[in-house]
Amino acid sequence: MRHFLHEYVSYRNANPFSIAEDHKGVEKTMKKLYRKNKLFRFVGNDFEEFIEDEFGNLEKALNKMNQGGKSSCAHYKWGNPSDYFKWTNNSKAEVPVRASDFMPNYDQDHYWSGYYTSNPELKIICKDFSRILNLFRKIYTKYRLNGGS
Amino acid sequence: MPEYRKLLEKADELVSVIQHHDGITATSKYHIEELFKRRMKQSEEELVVTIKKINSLSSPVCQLFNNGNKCVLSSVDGPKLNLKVFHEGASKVDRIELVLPAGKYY
Repeated sequence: MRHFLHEYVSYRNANPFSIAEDHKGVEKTMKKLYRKNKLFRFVGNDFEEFIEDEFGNLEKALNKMNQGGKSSCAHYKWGNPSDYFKWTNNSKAEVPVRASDFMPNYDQDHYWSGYYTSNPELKIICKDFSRILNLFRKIYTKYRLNGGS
Repeated sequence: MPEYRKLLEKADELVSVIQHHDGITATSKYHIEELFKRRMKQSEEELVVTIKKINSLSSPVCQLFNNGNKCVLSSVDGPKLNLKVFHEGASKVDRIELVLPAGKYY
């Protein structure tokens, strides 16, 4: 199952009209997958900053979609994951429980498999390094609180 | 920027990069992986040196999980042994066993 909650969309150089059309198309599919009346769609992408230009394009598209009047049954607003879960926790709609394996994960025409177990040496080195880093962070905080620079 | 702060930020950025794609998916090329391992090793040494400096420690430092979890302090002199234990702060319990030669320390 493709989970649209994790679909990243780029709005760089896009015009508000095409963004609005894109949203309408995606939301039809999302409604089938999620039974709640609130849908959450991420914007932005890996290795890509959400520039002001892109933000402006999306803002215009949201305003356009919200001005749809009676023909539009959806209302769009900005939010973050905390807002989404706060809204959905208040909803009484039942959501399907996924009982099968999560892996392999299908993401944008690629399968991710085995990434929890591949290259354990690198993972343990990274974990050990994180331990030292966390310790340093604690010691440095105490050092600064005691007037160190 | 103060020296210690710079060190912390450098280590923070390094662990973020590793954990993001390379540490999780492990899809990086061999030479990239080796590069990041070297950087982590170097940064770890710098952090340990600074931790010792901040805490005015001159004695050897042992890290948990290194050398099969064993630390032999062969260069400790005198009848008194000062042991400082630092914990990373995660919510877990680690057990430390200290074996002393009979009659040497009190």
